[in-house]
Amino acid sequence: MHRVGIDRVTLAGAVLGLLSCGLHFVVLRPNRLSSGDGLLVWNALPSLEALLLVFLWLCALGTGFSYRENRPFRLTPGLIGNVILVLIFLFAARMAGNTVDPDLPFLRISIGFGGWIMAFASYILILSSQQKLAGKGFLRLCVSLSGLTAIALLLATGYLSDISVIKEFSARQGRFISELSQHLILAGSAVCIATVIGTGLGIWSFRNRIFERPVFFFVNTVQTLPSLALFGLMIAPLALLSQRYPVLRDFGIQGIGWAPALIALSLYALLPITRNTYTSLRILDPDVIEAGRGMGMSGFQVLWRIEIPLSLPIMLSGIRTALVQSIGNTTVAALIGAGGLGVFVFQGLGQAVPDLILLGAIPVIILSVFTDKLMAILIHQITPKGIEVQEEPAS
Amino acid sequence: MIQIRNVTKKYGANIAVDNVSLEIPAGEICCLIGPSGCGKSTALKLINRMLEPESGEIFIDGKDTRDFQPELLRRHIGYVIQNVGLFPHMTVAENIAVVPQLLSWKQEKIEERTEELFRVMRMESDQYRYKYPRELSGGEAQRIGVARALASDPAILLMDEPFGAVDPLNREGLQAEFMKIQSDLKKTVVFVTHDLDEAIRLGDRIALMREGKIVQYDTPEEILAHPQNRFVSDFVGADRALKRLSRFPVSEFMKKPVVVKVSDDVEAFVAQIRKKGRPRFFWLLDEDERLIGPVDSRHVHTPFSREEDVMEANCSAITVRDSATLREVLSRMLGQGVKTVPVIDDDSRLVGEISILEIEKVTEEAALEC
Repeated sequence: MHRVGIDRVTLAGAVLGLLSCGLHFVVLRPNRLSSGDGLLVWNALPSLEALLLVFLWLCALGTGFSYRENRPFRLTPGLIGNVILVLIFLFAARMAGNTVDPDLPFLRISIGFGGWIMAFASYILILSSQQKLAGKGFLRLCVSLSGLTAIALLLATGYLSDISVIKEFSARQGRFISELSQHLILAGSAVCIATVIGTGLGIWSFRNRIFERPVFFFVNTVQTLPSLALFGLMIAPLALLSQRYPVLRDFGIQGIGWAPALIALSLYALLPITRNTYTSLRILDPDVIEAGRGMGMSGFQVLWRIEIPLSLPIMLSGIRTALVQSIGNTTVAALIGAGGLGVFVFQGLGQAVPDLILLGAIPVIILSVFTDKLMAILIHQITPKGIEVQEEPAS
Repeated sequence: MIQIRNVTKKYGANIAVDNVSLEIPAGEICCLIGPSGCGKSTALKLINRMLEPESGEIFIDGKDTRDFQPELLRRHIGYVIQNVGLFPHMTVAENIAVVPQLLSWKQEKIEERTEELFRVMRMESDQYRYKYPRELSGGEAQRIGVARALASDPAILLMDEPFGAVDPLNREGLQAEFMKIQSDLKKTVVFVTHDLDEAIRLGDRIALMREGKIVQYDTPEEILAHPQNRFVSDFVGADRALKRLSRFPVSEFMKKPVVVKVSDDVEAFVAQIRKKGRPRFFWLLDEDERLIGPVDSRHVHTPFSREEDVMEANCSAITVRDSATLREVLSRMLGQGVKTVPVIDDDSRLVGEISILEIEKVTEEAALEC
């Protein structure tokens, strides 16, 4: 006997998905700068395709209302979600490809607000399945990634190239690659620097309790500053330094550019890393250390066989937080000339081209989610089975 | 054998261990006891060099402990601490294997030794070896802690209030079990405790400490019978005659009980007893020799009825285990107002009875000694 019940998550996704049908699915613009006309699903797509989308959402709604605790029902929301996710892009791209107007050679077709909301709603369905498949590694992975993989394939084969965001991308392919790598280098090296300093600070404030308060006062305060303000604050002292010592300028260290950005980003990443290092040491049981020494372990053996296995998972989850946070914050660094994907966001804002903003924003989101997942898997692998780990909320 | 000679340990201006000398013969349990802060734990940690003394020397089997690297020394000395300190990320079997691994034993030898220790601890290997410490109860964890300390079969065992964090009921069980194990293994044990009853029960010798000094070092009998000064007599308390009873295990003093099985002809048995006139009480057993309850032969109905003639109700309140001491027996007698109590083994089978007469005999002998 399976209990029939209401599945709130799936239901929420389905309702949102159905509501999104009432918003503009795609936007037509005579050229990339002008504001355009929005089209609803049934205006934009052939009626069969539009009906298919609505039908799928109704199926999701039905599943939400009559949920049963068995495998097919755990899988259904994720399956529907993945299909819808792929269909949104597939249909939009086909529509864009078919809409050729000789009078409007610069016609642009973008996915509209409704389209994005629908994509988000389908992701809620996928999350719903992910939750229910906890502990079933392979199935869960399939549900999480199949839709995204299909979209990546469509992208790679050039099928989506008629959508406006992709057109923006094709126009700046070289720039995109260089800004993407700049973004990754900035965020990555900031976290590396913060890991070295933060771990040191964590250990230091654990060993000498008098430093605990000042250290945490500092890293907490940094965290409360708005990122833009912190970037701005870095400009003046660095400009002064590079004026005083021109040799610094040869290394590219000056008031604007990568140097102030890197410093600010590293400062931001300090808090989670310092805090988690400190906590991981705090919760080490002194009796366990004493037992280790009493059994005849050397200092190194105690560190390697007891302290590191027990504290590494918590330290790593600090680095996980720092990484995700840095990838987001690096976007703002474009404002002080440090480059990165933020360049497209701010260009897009300046020129009022929503698709250019998306060209910067979407990769940032994908990078964050991907990094977060990767770290989650790494931490799970590295955590010894005997210790209880608080599962972080699904992200 | 452990020889401690003129050892002093200071923490700043505070002298934790003050010129202590102590000799612990091989195969004996020496209990270090005293009020908290008296330096008993510090003294223990000086032996395996978890702490280094300011002055004095410690010899183990005639060898100066300073001649060894501390880590290597500790691998040959078992160490059990109050809060067990099992490694939470290792399974029970991995915990036990820590010291053999540090000593680079071969895998098969470690495996063999682990199995042997499960047998010594009377724990099911299959049930426990893959468990993690957080899945164990307090008593189980402490037994694994002892097994881990015994893993490399060290001649010396240092125990720092090992049963201090266990509830009183489990503590008695652990003590009894430890005594059983010790009677086979004959380790030289230094046992720190703040519980005098525990020290009296377990110790071959007791070293009573105060403010870093040893006040009296003697057998428990001597300490109870001849306290050297006011501090010692205050510490052992006015009830020392009672405490002394913990030295006597029930199993050595119990007598053969008069029993009849419920499946036998109880009425004929009663008739026979009545003719002889004694004993007045006997024990009724079930088919598996498990105790049902005492029967008063003077008040047996004819026909015999289990419901009316057997005092089943308070039977478990007067029953003692064969691992208990005379002190517990006396306590049961006084508490329940009975003069004879039944003794059962681990499988609840009746193995003997013990009466107030036996206890009187023991206390008389003790009084003569004094």
